[in-house]
Amino acid sequence: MRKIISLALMGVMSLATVFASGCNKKNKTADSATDIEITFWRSGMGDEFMNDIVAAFEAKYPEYNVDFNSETTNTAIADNIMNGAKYNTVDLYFEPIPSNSLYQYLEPLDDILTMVNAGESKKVSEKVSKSLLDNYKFYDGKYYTLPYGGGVCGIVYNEDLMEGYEIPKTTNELRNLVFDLYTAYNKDNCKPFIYFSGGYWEYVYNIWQAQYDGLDYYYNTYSTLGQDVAVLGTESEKPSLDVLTAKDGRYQALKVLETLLDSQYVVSGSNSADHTTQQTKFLNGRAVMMCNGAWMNNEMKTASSTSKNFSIMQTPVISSITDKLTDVKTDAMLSAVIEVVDNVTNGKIAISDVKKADGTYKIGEVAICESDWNRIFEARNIIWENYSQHAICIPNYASAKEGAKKFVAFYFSDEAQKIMNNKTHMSLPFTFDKTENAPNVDSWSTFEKTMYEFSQKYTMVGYVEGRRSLVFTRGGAFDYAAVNFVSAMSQQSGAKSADTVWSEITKAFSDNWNTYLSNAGLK
Amino acid sequence: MKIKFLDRKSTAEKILYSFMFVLFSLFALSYLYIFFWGIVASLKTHTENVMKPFAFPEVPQWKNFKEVFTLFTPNDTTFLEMTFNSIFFSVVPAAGGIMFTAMLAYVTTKYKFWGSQIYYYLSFVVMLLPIYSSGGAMFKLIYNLGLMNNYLFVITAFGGIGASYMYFAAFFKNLSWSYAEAAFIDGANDWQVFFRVMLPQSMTMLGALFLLSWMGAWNSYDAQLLYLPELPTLSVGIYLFDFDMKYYVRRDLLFAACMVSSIPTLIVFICFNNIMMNNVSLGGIKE
Amino acid sequence: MSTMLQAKKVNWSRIIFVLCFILVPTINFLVFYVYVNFDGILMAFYRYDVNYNKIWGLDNFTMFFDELFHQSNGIQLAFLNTFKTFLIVLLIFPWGIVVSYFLYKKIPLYKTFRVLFFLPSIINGIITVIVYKNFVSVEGPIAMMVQNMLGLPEPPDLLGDPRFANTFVWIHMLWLSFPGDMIIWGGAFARIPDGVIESGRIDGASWITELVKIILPMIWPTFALKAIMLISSVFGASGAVFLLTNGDYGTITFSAWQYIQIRNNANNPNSVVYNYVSAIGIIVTLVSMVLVLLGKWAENRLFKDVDY
Repeated sequence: MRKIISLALMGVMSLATVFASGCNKKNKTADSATDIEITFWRSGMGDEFMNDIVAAFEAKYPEYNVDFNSETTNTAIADNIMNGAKYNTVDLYFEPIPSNSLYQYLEPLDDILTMVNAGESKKVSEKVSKSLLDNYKFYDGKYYTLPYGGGVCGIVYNEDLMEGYEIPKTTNELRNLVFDLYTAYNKDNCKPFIYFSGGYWEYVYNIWQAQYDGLDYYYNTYSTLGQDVAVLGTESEKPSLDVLTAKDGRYQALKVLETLLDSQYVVSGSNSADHTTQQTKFLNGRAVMMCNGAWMNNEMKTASSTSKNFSIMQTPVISSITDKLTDVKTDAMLSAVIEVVDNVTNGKIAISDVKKADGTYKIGEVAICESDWNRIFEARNIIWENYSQHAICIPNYASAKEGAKKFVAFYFSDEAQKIMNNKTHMSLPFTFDKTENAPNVDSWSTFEKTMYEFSQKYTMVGYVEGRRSLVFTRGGAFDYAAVNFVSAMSQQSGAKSADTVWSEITKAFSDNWNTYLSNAGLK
Repeated sequence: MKIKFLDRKSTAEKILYSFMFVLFSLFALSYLYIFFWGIVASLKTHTENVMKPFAFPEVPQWKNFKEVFTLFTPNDTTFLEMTFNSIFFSVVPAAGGIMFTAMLAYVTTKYKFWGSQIYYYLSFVVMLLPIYSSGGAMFKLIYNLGLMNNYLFVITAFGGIGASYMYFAAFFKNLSWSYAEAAFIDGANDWQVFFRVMLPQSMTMLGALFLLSWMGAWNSYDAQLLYLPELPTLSVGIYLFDFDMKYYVRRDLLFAACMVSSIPTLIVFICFNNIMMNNVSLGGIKE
Repeated sequence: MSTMLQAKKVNWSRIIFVLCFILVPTINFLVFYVYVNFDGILMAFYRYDVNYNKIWGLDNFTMFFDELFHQSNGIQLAFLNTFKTFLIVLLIFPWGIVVSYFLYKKIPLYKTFRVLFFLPSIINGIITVIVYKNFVSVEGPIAMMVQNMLGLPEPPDLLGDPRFANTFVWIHMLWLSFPGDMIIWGGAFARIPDGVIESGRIDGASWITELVKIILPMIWPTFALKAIMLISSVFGASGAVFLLTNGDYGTITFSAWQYIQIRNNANNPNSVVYNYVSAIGIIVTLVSMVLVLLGKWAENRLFKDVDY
C-alpha cells in the first residue's frame, strides 16, 4: 500500500516538474501605451454592452488594442492599485468608487469632461447627468472618477397586485396602503413587503432623511458632520458629534419604518435570505412591494415570473416634513401640494398658474408661502441613485493613460451610449435633450420606461464619498451606526420601537466617537 | 433473525450498539442527503428552486448539466484542466510540506543544537497569531520570483513551521531512540537512520497529516484566486461561479456545477480512503 | 525517553545532515513568513494621522481595552458567543473519540460510515451551507416544526431572528462536526495492540471502562496534544457565522468579528482597522499562550512524563 502511495506521489511530482518547467500559461498582452487593459465589474448590468462598446472602440481606433477583463468580484482597485506600475498593469477600472485614501493613485479626469467626440457638438460634461457629476466631485474640486452607470432606486411594486390602489404620495398614505394590502392579500400568502437581510431600504430611508432635513443640510452638514471639507484636518474644523447625534431626519425616517416593518407586513425569511432569492419570490407574487433599483429587470431576466408588470413609485414624501413647514400642517394638505408639484414637474400646468404675484402659491383655495412650496418641491423631486457603485478611474501611473482617456471619452459618445441603452435598457449616467439622442424606449418594459423617465426628471441623491466626513470614510462610522434596525423592527417577537433603536444608535455614536476620530487621523 | 455482530455482546451493549447504529445512520444519511438534494436541485429551474426548494422538478432539466460544461469555464479553463490543477495544487504542497515538516521536527527533537528549541515556539506563534495585510509584500515577492500563474508556486508550501510541526515533534519525542542506536551500531549514517529506520515508523503519522493537509488545500481558494487566476482549481471555479450565478440568477446551474465539481473529490476519496484510513495515526502510543 | 546525541568532537557530516534538514523550512519561513509579515506585525504598533503619516505607539492596544467595556460595539457579545461556542466544542471533543471508538469496534457498516463521515470535510463548504440554509429556511421542514411547537403565526426566520439564530448556527456546527477527528483518533486506536483489548475483555471490562481505563491511557500522548491544541484555539471557536448570518442577530463571535472588520474595509487597504486587528491578534496570542502553558502544567500534574 505504501508503495502505491509513494508511486502515486512520485508520479504527480514528476508531472509537476514537467509542467513547472515548461508551462507558464497565458502571457498577458504587452503593457504599452497602445494596449489598454480594462478591469470591469460585472454587476446586475451585465457585460454584454461593454463587449460591444469595446468592439466599437477598436473598430474606430485600430491603433489601440483593448484587453477587456470582466469580473464578478469588485475589489480589484483595492487589491492592486497601491502596487504601482510594475505590479499593476490595469489602465482603466469600471468598479465601485474607491476609498478616498486611494485617490492619490488616481489620474484627474477633468480634461475628459471638456472633450467633444468627433461628429458631435456637446462636451462630455454636458452629456452626463448633472446631479451625478456634482456628486462625483472630490473635495479638492477635481474629478478623479466619473460615473458609468447606475440606477434609480426606490419602492418597486407589482402593478397587477397594485391595481385599484392609489400610489401613495406621503408616508402616511404609504402606511395606510400597507394596511389595505395586508388585509386584501394576507390570505393568499402575499405580503405588502419583501426584502433581503435588511438590504435596499436605504434607498428610501436616506431619501426620507434628506426630505425632512433638506438637501443642503443632508449634503453640507450631515455628510460632512459640520466640517468644512476644504480645510480638512486643521484644528479649527473638527467634525461634530452633535451633528451625528442630532435628532434629525434619520429619527423621522425610523418613525416611518416602525409603521411599515411590522412582522405581519413582511415576508418571513427576509432577514436571512439573499437578494436574488427574494427578488424571485417578489417576481412570483409573494409580495406587492420591494425596495429595489433599475437593474432588477436586467438581473432577473433569466428567472421566470408569474407577473411581468412591475413599476417604481416616486418615493413618498415624509409626512413629518410638516414639522418644518409654516402653512402646510396636515397630511391631506401636504398630499394636495404634492399633486400640484407633480403637475408642474410633468408639465401639465405651468408654474405661473400656481405662483401668485405676492410670492405665495395657490393650492386649490389655499395659499402657501414660498418656503413651504420650495421645501415640498425639493422633497418630491429627489430620488435615490446608486451611482457610487459604478465609477470609472485610471491609475496615474498607467502606461496607456492617454488611450484609456480616449476610451472613456468614447464611452460618452452617442455611439457607445446607444449600445448601452439598447443592451441594458438603462440610461444613466447619460442625460438627454427631449429631442435628440434620447433612446428609443418603445420596446422597453413599463418598469424600464419609468426608470428612464425618473432618471431624466428627478434630482438624484446618493453618497458623496469624495466629500463625506473622514469620520465616515476612514473613521468607521456608518449611517445609523450600522445598527441593523430593519430586522430589529420586524422581529416576530420583541420588535424594537424607533425610539429604542434611536437611543441605541446615539449611544453607539457617543461610545465610539473617539475611535472614529482616531481612526480618521483627526485625533 | 440473528445479527452476527451482536452475538458476543451483553444486552446493555446490544442496546448501546443499536442506538449508535441508528444515530450513525441518521447522520450518514443526512450527509448523503446533501448529494441527493443537490442533484434534485440541479434538475429544477431557478424559480422552482426558490419557490419550492423541497419539491421534485416538474420537468427534469437535464440540459443544466450540459449547460454547466459550457458555462463553468473560469478564465477559459476546462473542467479537466481544473481537476488537474486541483489535484496538483493539493497533492504537491501537502506532500512536500509534510515531508519537510517531518525532517525539521526530527532533527530539532532528536539532535541537540543551538536554536533547536526555537522551532517549537515559532510554530506556536505561527499557529496562533493571525496576521492581516502584509501590505502587498507577498504579492510583490511572488511576482518578483516569477511565481504568478506558475505551477512552481507550490514551493511556498514547503515550510515546516506551524501546527503540523507540533504533531511531528510530539511523535518523534515519544519515539524511542533505541532503534536509531541499533542502526548506528550496525554502521548506518544519519541519513540512513532517518530514511530507513525512523521515517518509516512515522509513516502512519505522515499519512494522517498528509490527508489533513490535502483536504485543506483541496477546498481552499483565497491564495489561488490572487496568485493563480490563470490556473483555477475546482474550488476557485465554484467560488467564481457562485458570484456569477448571483447576477445571472441561475441557482440551478450553481447546484449542477457544485455536483459536477464534487465528482473528482469523491473519486479521489473513494480510491484512497482505505489506504489512508488504515495507515494513519497521530501522536504516539504510550510506552 | 530518548538520549540526545551530543557531539564530542566536531562531526562535520552530522552538521551537514542537520543543516540540510533545517535549511529549506528555515529559508521558507524567513522568506514567506518573516519577510512578508514583518510589516504586518509592526502594524500593531502604529496608527495614521490625517495625512497617512505613521504615528508609533501603543494606542491600538489601549484602544482595545477601552472598547472592551463598551456594550455598543459588539466585542463583548463576540467574546461571550466565542466562549459559549468553545464550551460546545469542548463537549463534542470527547464525542469524537466515542464515534471513532465505535468505528474501531467495527460497528455494522463501519466501512461505509467511515467514508460517509468524511463527506463534510471534503465537500465544498459553499454546498453544505446552501443545503443547510434551505433546510432551515421558511419554506423548509424545520421552520414549520418550530412554528407548530411554539404556536407562531408564521414560520420563523430561524437564521434571521435573534431568538433562534445562535442555536441554528450551533446546530449547523454540530451537524457537520458529528464525526469528530476520525483521522486522528482512528489512527491512534489502530495502533493499540490487539492483545491489550482482548485481555480487558476477558477481565469483563464494560465498553466505558475499556475506553476510559484501557484505551485512553494508551493514546494519552495524542489526547494530551489535541487537548492543548484545543485550548490554544479558544478564541477561534466559531460556527460558520459569516456564511450563515454575517454575524447579525446576536451570533457574532470573535473570529467572525475580526473577519468582518477586515472585510468591511476591503476597499480601503490603508484602513487603520488592519493595525487595530493586528494589535488584538497579539493580545489574544499572548493570552492563548498563557492558557496553553497552564494546560500543559495541569496535564503534567495529571500524568507525569507527558511530552509533546
